[in-house]
Amino acid sequence: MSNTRLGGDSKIWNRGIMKFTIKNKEGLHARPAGQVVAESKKYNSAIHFIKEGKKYNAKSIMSVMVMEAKLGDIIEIECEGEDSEAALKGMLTILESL
Amino acid sequence: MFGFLKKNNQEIKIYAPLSGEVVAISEVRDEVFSKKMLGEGVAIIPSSGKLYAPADGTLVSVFKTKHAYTILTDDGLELLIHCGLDTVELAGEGFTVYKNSGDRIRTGELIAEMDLERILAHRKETITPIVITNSDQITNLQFETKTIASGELLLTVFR
Repeated sequence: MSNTRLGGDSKIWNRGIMKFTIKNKEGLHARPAGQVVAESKKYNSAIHFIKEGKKYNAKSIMSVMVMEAKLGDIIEIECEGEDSEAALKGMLTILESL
Repeated sequence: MFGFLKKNNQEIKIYAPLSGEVVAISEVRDEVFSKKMLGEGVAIIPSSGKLYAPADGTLVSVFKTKHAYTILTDDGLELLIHCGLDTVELAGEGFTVYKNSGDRIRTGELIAEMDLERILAHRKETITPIVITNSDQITNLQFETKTIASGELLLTVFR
């Protein structure tokens, strides 16, 4: 977790990144993609997955499915916004539960 | 004011990518589709394996396992065509793809072909859900449960 203070703005934006290894057989295909997006939409933070240098919007089913994260793939979860800490925790929990 | 409202009430037409029987998505025997976890849509039980573009747009991705296709239509709808149920397990067997990820597609162009008999031989259902994955941007959709030929009007989507 890093806190960056934007010049002049009193708001403190949080940004968190964590690595995660896909553990379920199906990967982030249909059902898991739906579950992951339902979770990400609970947060105000911008949430992205990063796989092999490419960034995918975790709030878009299409984007998550296009990522085609399979068993054993390592992805990064990036959350940016005021509730980024809760978002990161929530995203890890849902990914672990798949 | 009314002109503004009218503009927002846009109708988008989606044409049948497959020939077969049109059924409500709630009847698909996989709750990820029937409970609309990925969005609103409809399903076709195909009578032929030829899969055509349902609208003008971009074929965003062909999954490595060839059983699912995502399309961004020129009208801004995100479509997922998921050929059969649990067909991810076939790892591409029974599917021939004629287009690549990123290709421009025109309504009625052949995208892929599934070998229905081969898929059924693996005890997989061939029913193909067609899902609007950005359903939060639409207000309603209309379709008829009937026998349809590919290229005929399948869905009218209201935005």
